Amino acid sequence: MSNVHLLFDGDILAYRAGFAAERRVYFDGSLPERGDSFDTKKEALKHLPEEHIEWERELQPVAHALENCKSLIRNISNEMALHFDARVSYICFLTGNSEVPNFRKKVDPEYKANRKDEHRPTHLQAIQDYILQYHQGYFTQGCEADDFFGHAAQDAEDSGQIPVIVSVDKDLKQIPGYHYNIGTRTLSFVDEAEASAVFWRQMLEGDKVDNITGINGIGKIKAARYIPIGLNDGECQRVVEEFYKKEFLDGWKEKFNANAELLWIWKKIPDECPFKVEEEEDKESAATSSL
Amino acid sequence: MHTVTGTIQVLGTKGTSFKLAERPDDWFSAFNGTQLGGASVGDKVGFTYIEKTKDDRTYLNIKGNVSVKEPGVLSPSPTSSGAQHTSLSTDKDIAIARAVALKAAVESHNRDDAWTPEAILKTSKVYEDYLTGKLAQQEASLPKEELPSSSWEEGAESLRKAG
Repeated sequence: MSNVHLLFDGDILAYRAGFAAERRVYFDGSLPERGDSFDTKKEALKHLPEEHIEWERELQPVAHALENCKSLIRNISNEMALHFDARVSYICFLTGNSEVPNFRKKVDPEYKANRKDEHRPTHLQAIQDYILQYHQGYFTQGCEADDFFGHAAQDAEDSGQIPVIVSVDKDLKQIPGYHYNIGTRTLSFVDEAEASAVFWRQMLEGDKVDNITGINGIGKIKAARYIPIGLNDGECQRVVEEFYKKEFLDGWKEKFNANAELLWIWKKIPDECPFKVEEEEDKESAATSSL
Repeated sequence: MHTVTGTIQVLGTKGTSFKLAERPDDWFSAFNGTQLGGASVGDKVGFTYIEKTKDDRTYLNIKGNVSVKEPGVLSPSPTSSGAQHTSLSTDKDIAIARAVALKAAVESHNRDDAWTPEAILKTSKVYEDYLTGKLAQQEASLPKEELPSSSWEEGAESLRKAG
C-alpha cells in the first residue's frame, strides 16, 4: 500500500472553518432597535438606503469552529485514502511571520494592503492554535505558507510518498503534482508545463486579490491565449517581457522583477524566481562609480 | 557532526551532491551548490556533515563549505584509466567491436533516405559503446537518485535564523 502525504493550506482551513461558524446579519442601523435583518448586503439594499445599513456577526461557539476544522481534515483524509487506496499522513502549513516578516512586504509595501481585518473570522486565532497543537500545524516564517508546499512536496516524493496539496489557492498550481480543491472537492493533476504556464499567466494578469498589478486589459482568458500550455520558459518570458516593455516603458525591468518575486511560489526554502531580468545601474550610482 | 576527507568520484546532476571514492555508497548533499566552491570530480576535499534519518533513509547533509585540499587527484574520466573497466581489452577486440557496430549502424539506417555518414558513425558509436561495455559503465557512474540537499524543515530553520 502506498502512502499519501497531504499538504494542507492551513490558512484556507482556518478561514473556512472560522467563517462556517459565523454569519453576518445586515440591518437598519438608524433605528433605535433592530428591525428586520438580512442575510446579505445585496438583500438589505433592496429595502434600505446604503448609508443606514450596518452589520454584525452572529457567532457560533468556538467549539463549532474547531469541529468544522477537524471535519474538513478528516473528510479529506478519508477521501484521499479511498481514492489512492493508501495510508494518509498530513501536515498543515499556516502563515505565521511573527518572528520574520514576509519578504514580499519588502518587495512591495502595498502587497496585500487591500486586505482588511474585518474579513478575518472571529475565531481565527483559536483555530490556528488548534491546528498547531492537534493537526501537525506549522507556522511559516519569512514568507507565506504557500512557499513551503513546493519543498515539502518534493521531500514527500523523495521519500516515496504521493504528495497532494490541499487548498483553493490558484497560485499553488505553480507546483506540479496532485492538487485537491477544498472548495470544489475535486482532485486534479498539474503537470510541469501547466505549472509553468500558471506563473507566466499570472505575470500578465497580476493578482487583484493580493494587490499586484499586471498588464492592463489582460485577464484570465487573454493570458491563456498569450501563454498557451506547452511554451517553454524562455518563450513565455519573451512574450511577457514584450508586454511589460509596452506597459511600463523605462521602468519595465523593475516592475517585471518585483512581480516575479511577488508571484513566484518557492520550489525550495528559501528560493528566488530564476527568471528575473538584469536591471541597469541607476544613473546616479553609475556616475559616482565613474568618478 | 562528522568531518570527512576524500576524493570526489561522481558529481550529482544538480551540482549539489557528490560521492567520494572512499565511500562509493554514500551521497553527500549540500543545500546550495555554492557550498561546493567549484569542487569537481577528482578533487580531494574536506567538509563536515550531519546524518539525518527520515523514513528509514539516511541523508548526509553537508554543513558549511567544502574545502578543496588537492585539486584533480583522480582522473575525471573513468575510461582514461585504461581497459580495467572495459570488457574488451585488446586493440583487436576493439577493432572487431567497431566493425560489428558499423555494420549494425548501416543496417539501422537502411530505410533512412536522409542518411549521412556522420549519422551512421554516431549510431555506430552507440553500438560500439554497448559492445565494449562503455555504455553500461557510463550508466553505472550516473547518480541513481540525487538526494534532496536538505529537508523543508532545515530550509525553514535557516530562513528563520537568517531573518
